[in-house]
Amino acid sequence: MGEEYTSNPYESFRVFSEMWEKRLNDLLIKSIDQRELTMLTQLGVTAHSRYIERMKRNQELIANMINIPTKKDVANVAKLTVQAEEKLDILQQQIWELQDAFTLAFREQNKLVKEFMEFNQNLQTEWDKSKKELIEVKKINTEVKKLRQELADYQGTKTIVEELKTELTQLKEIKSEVAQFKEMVRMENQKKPLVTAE
Amino acid sequence: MGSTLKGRLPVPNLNTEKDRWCQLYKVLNEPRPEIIPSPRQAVWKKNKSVLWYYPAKEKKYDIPLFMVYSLLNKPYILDISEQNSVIGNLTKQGYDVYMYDWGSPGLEDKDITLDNYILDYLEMAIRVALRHSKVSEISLVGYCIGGTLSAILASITDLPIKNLVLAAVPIDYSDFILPDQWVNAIQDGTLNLDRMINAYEVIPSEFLYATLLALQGFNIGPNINLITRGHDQAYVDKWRRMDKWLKDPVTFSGAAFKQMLNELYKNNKLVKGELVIGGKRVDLRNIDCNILVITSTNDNLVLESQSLPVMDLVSSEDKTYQLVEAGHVSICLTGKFAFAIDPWLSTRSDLN
Repeated sequence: MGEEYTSNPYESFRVFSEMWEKRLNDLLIKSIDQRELTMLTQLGVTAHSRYIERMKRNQELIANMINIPTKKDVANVAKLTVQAEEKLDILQQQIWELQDAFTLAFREQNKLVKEFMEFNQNLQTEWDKSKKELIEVKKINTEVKKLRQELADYQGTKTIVEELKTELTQLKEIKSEVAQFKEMVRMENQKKPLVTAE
Repeated sequence: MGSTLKGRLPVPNLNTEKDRWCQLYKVLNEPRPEIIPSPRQAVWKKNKSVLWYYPAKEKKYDIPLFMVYSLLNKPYILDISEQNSVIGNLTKQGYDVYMYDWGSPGLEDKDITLDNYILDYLEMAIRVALRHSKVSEISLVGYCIGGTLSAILASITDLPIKNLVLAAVPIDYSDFILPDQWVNAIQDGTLNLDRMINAYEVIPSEFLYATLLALQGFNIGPNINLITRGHDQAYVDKWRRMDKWLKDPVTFSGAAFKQMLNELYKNNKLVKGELVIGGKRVDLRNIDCNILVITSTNDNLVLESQSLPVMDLVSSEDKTYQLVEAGHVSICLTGKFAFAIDPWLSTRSDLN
């Protein structure tokens, strides 16, 4: 049994049929590839269309006479549902647009609130800083006042110094007058011995 | 001689065969698997659309992902199973994920245009996600037509889109997967579906499923793959989930379908810069965020040539193009998409 040639007997059948299928298709395409056949088909299509049209017309006519709905009537009702669906779609799109607009507005609002909070915080910081500065300014003011007082005191001293200066000038003048007087006395003293010698 | 022949003849393994046929029997007879989504929460609802929020298992990145799937199929392919879930893997990688489920329009939605889908639904949903996540930027991940709508929105909105990921995205409609004559017929107006769209008002899911099947031509590959790998339970489970998703298409608003056919497929206005949405001219040069464009090597529904022009049309400085080894559906089905965008996104998903 081991030496026996076991195979799928249908494999060659498949290859053979594939070959024939291809040949038959080539033959079919060649045989139908004719202008006349297309014209004949057009005739058949027109006749068939006329038949369908007449059949549908008669069907509508009979259904109308015996007052029963046709598929066309059902289709017309179904169309209303489709139209309602379309309106819903339009509404849905508008809702989306609104959602998008709201999302955008919310985002902008958040941004604005954030900016406002930052501004507020900055304002608070500035306020604290100003407060500190105000205290500093007050301190400086007190010091300035003190200085002014000291300066005022200094002004009194200055007047005394001025008076002293004036007195000193007067003293200098007296000193110079005394020096002149001294000179005059010396000169007088030098003149007296010359007269005695004669 | 007899023994030599015996050694060379393929001998089927009985157990494998038993598994294979049991699984196939289950596929045929059992109900389709229930798709249990990753833990999620509805953040916003409008008409039939729902904005789902999938929180990260362990959040690693600031900027959440906003996933926009095609208008032509249900978005649970992005969260198809626990192991292979694109969203599940992204939440495991640390991303908060928002996923916008357009819902399946009813007759009453016949007048919803691409303008409404882009401005009244998608733009509003991104605003809700931004508000819910409480972040200032978002990564927009668009797949297939969802990528086209994401690129259109990114070029006309003022939303803070940091990263734009476009996967398997049709931008240039000068060429698409139809045969040449059919592309020409649509572009020159020989084949015009306006009257049929007006007659139907809302394009039935069966019509879209039939169109998808027709675009795939002979598509026996998935069924053959199922038989070939039927013994592999994991593969069969993945196959059944994909099968359920493929056979679970959505309806399409007539006005939006007509606008898409005429303005994109017929006149290729997006690449020409002539498309007007909500009164604004769509100029892809207005896109200057980081951009990643992903295409798959085996994508049979959106051609690489349809995605590539966006690289030259945007004015982003940080732009990356990535080619992934996968198919249009399998990149999501296998959860590969989460691993393809993670290396690029992870370096661009933190707030500056």
